[in-house]
Amino acid sequence: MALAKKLCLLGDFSVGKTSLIRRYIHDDFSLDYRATVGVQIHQHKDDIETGQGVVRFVQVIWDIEGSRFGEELVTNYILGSAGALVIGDATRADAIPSMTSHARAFLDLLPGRPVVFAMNKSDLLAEDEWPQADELVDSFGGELVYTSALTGYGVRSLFHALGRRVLEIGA
Amino acid sequence: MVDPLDNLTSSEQLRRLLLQDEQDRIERLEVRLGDDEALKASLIPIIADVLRDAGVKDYRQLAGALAPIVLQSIKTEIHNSRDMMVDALYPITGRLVAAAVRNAFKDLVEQLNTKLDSTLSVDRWRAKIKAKISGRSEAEILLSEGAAFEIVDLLLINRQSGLLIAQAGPDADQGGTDSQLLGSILTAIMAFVRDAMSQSSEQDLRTLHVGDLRLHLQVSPGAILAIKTKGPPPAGFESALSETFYDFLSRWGNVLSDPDQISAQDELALTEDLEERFKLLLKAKQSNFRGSSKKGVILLGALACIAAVWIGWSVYQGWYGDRIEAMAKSVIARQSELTGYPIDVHYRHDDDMLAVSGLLPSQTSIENLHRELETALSDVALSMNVGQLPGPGLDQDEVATIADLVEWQRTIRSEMIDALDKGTSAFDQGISSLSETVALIEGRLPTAVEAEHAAFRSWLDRQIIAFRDETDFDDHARANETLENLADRFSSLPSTVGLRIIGYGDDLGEERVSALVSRSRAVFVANRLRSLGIPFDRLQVVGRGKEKRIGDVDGPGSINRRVEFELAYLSDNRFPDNANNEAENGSR
Repeated sequence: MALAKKLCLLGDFSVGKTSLIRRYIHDDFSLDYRATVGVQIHQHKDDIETGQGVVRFVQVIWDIEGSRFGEELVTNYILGSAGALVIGDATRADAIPSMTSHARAFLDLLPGRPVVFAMNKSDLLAEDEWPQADELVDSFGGELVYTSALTGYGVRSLFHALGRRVLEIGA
Repeated sequence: MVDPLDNLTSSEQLRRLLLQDEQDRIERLEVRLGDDEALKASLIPIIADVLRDAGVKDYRQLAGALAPIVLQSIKTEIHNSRDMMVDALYPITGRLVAAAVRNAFKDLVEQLNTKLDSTLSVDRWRAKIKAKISGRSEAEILLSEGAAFEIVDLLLINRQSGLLIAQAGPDADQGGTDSQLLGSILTAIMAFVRDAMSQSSEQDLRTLHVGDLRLHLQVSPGAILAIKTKGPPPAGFESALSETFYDFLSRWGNVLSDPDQISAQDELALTEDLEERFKLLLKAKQSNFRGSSKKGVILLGALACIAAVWIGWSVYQGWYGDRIEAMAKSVIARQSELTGYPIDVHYRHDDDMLAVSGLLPSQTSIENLHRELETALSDVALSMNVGQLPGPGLDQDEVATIADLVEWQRTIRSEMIDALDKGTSAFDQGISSLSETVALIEGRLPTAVEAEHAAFRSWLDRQIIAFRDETDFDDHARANETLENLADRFSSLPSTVGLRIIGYGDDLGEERVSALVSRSRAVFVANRLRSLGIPFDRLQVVGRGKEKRIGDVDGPGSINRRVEFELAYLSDNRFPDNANNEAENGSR
């Protein structure tokens, strides 16, 4: 049986969590916005390059509804995750505080599990306008990746970064 | 202004000039690490980052270093806070107990429903009738009509992550990709159900039912056992599933308590175990999840026990009897004065008694043997049936008694011989006398011919030919039969025997006429007999009229109108001329 891990996507509503997954798995994008209700679960098999070589890795990705953050149901959805992608909207002013609260909630629940941050919708900004969020990495470790579900920029790197950290930490 | 260095010695001045930076650094370090408080204050801001980075760098090493301390703390906490632990564990144990009780009640209800259905349902009776008509078995019809229950596969799922831990079943080798998704969705659904449908964490989703497919769930804090089935599950299936799961947990509970840390070796063993349990479930399905009846085994076991006890008892009895007999024979063998005398011992199981029989030389030897046996076999009853042989040591009285007996025997013998001689002589005389008597009787016995004549005469006396009127037979057939029979029997008689034919009449008419008519009847019969082969000269006809009435009625058909017969012995072998006979009419 291939190595499988549960990963979860956290972030405020409409930051592009589902779009990132869609781009990563199906290499597709839709401008129609449909809010996720509850949770959507996706499965994707990919080869992840780690320090010990390339690993065939089954990612079971839980796309968790953003508007119900903090509720017990969401907490139950997060449980068992090997790592989390915390997504923020690069165009929102409150992106960093929002991502901080999600990351903290995740690590409070699952201490020591790797977190990778994604500043999505980066295509809407010029590169020099991208919000600097080094404090996130400083506080919670991990990496920060600027992404665009629309163009696909940084998407693969994002999921691979999390996958790599999960595989290396062995959570 | 005075330079501070002026007050120092030259060596100190030199040292300060060379080591000033190091001195300052040491002082700063002293401030941060100089004592426990300073060290503590310095570590507080960075300890979390240190541990996190250590975890990122080498998670296992950090976990290995911290685990003993954490474990010891947990143990201590558990020991000191039992009540709190009970409260904490209550939701889990309560849920397990609730699930077990719920399954038991569910099975009971299903069994009752099954029994009721089997006797009361229309379908069952329809199947019975159909079976009678078609000749097929009822079970075959029910099976063909009902949806067969099928176990598809068995999934062991990490309860938190929803990831597949192990899988057993026909699809297990396909990598479980779909099963991974299924497990994740299942855990999401369970979380949703728990959140939306119940406020109590003790309630879990037990079954998912979609069309003909069912997903039966057994849940522990760490894992979910999901079994995918098709068709309606029989009673007892849930119970069997629960037993499988609890048994599985009892073996793998420690491993499953932290499913994220299952080693590859454990995963392999766990998968093999799950496959084995899957096979057991399939086997249980063949018996419809009914426990095999142990009545036959118990009965056989009981019979085997009884047989074993009986055989054991028989062997013991045989051994015990042989042992008693061997001891008795040993006692006998020890007594040299008994050597050569016939003596036998036999142990009787029925009354637990040793029977001793035989012949011994003296009463004293018998008593000695009895005493020795009683001593050696104190717990066995003795039955002494031992006779005494006549030996040389008889006393005077015994000798006299024997002599008297011998003399008496001789006397009796002599008397018996005399009596026999006398009896023989008297017997011979009696036989002689009896022979004479028999000869006399035999001489008086009639000859065979005479006996035949007597028998014929006796028959002849009972023969009557009746007449209606004149010489007309009253019953022709009977009269002819009688005459034919008479002619036949008479022909075998010697020629010295004649037949007298006597006619009679009734009281009607004159005496003379009656005499004539009666003779005519005799002549008529004589003619018939002559026609039947009897020589006429051996016949004599006589008419005796009204001489011998034998009936009260007169007239046609009267019994008085008849002919009778008598035998007559002829001196010259002939009757006188029948013409003369006619002259005899009425004169006899």
